[in-house]
Amino acid sequence: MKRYALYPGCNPKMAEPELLKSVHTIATHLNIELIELDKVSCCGGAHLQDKNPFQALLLNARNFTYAERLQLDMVSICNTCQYVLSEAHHRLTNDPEVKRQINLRLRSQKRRFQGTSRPRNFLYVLLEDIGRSEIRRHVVRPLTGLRVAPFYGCHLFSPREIQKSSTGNESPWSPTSLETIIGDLGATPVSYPKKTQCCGFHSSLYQPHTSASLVDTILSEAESFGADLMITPCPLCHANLEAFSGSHTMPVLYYQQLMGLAYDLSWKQLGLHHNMSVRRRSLENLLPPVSVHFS
Amino acid sequence: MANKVEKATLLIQRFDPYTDKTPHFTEYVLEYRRNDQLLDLFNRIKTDRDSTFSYRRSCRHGICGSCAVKVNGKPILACRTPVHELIDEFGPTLTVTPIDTEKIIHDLVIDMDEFWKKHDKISPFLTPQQHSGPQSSLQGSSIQGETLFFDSSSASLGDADYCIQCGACYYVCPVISVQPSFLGPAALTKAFRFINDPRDTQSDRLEVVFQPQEGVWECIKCLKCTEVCPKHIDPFSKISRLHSQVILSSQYTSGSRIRHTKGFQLDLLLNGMLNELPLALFALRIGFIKMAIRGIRMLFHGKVVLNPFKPRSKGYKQIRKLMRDSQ
Repeated sequence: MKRYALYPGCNPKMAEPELLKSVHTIATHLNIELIELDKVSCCGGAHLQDKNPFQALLLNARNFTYAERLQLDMVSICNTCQYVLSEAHHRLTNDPEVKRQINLRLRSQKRRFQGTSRPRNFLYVLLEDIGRSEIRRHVVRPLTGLRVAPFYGCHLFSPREIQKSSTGNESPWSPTSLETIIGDLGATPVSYPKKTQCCGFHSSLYQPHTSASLVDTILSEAESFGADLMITPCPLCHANLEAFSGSHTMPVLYYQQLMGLAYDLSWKQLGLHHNMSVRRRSLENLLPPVSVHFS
Repeated sequence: MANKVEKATLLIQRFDPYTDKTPHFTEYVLEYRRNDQLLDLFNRIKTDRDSTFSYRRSCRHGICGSCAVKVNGKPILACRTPVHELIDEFGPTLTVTPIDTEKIIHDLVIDMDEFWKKHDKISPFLTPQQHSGPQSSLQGSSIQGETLFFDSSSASLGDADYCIQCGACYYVCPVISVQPSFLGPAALTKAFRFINDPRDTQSDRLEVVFQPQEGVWECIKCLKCTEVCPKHIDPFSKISRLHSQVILSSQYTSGSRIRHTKGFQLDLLLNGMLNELPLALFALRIGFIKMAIRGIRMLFHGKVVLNPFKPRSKGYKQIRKLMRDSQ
């Protein structure tokens, strides 16, 4: 059994419970042990960094110490957490003076950042550590005929120099990991140019028109390429794609939920009742019947 | 290895305003060696295949910023990007388009007027204190008449001065397409460079930078600008520092954007984690009502945590102490 420390992030704890549910469900199904870190803080979400960058770095150094004590890599399930944690890790491991200052502050809490836990993303844990054959082996309901548009978002890969070791050295301009998973589940991947565009989440509260326009362009393009549904790895993208969907009716799922559907896991286990863009009957109509034969 | 000859296929977007109604793609199969840059292939097409092929180029050393184009959607400088690196990233067929497909003049040459007008808006030049002129400083032994600039001041500008105005960051920014008045990363980086120059006296530049619909608050933090900058300037970090400057400035104390950042920190102090409901209330105040319909839908789907003390990290006391010690 593979073991990882799970950095849950705030959004899955608050507004995107379906992500946390489907991550735990898929992990259990694939024999992965995720130890959820419950004493960590928010990563700062690229906002605390604007107000007090040192404080944000300090909190993230502290976050890593929990995974380090477990001697496990720290796995995130949110693109922005992934970016912020990777950047903090990179800074702390490449700047000895900053690391010294941070550790001086952490000393009062008997903590010390060492840099022994790598920041990783659940998507690449599945592809690199668990493997495609294992992902395929559990499929009992191949999603034949289903046309699925991947939406990667922006923070998963950028800046590439910092994130490449966490995210399979994928090109931010032509990633294929989600397409790989879609294909392994028996569905047809639908690639389209805006799959790595930003959804505008980080200004959605005070610039909703920008988010609405960006989401409209993403969903419109995916629809024009003939997609039946969309999947994403990021809770912030998912929240925005659902909140600003407007007249679009395309269901937006997490890739973990799509895996769960191909594994014929229950609706409740995958948290699909939380998805605002999903209507059960419409989604069931898109899915092929259950079969146990798949190669 | 350096002399090994391989073949690349370039699908280049062509457009002649005198003969074409719409742009089209022309395929060129060319030999390249490991040290060939994309610009070398452009030059070969122009000299050997089609002299009408148009593209901007000048210095060939990544200084003039003329030759920015998009390859498979990625903005690059043609003179500083080896063909083999592009093929490693995108495969043997490279699709080359102008850096902005909406404003084509001829083939890969575009009208950058909008980009330059936005640069003009932030007054991209130094306005030093008026002094009595070079004559007096030469005559006297005092430093009166000189405008001094120390190493420490130079460090605060970072690498913002290295911008070559190639437009790579501007034409990849997704906000420009949906909010055309946004100044964009290049102009904001230039603004950052002058705002933080102690020799500069132009005080209204900050106001331009913080204008709604134009300034830093329109940035959606996607990092595309940082990803593409051929000079590795990291424009996003400059925008982030401009955010920081306005938040810390006593001149700007209100507004939903400033309250959002302050509320974010307060939420972390309270719980160690974020609950967007109290944050939205704190940031938007009466404007929160506009979100009511979305909020009800979210509530119906179990996506709203009504308790302002949840989600709360089990380590919230230590987090609070650490944050207070590092205010």
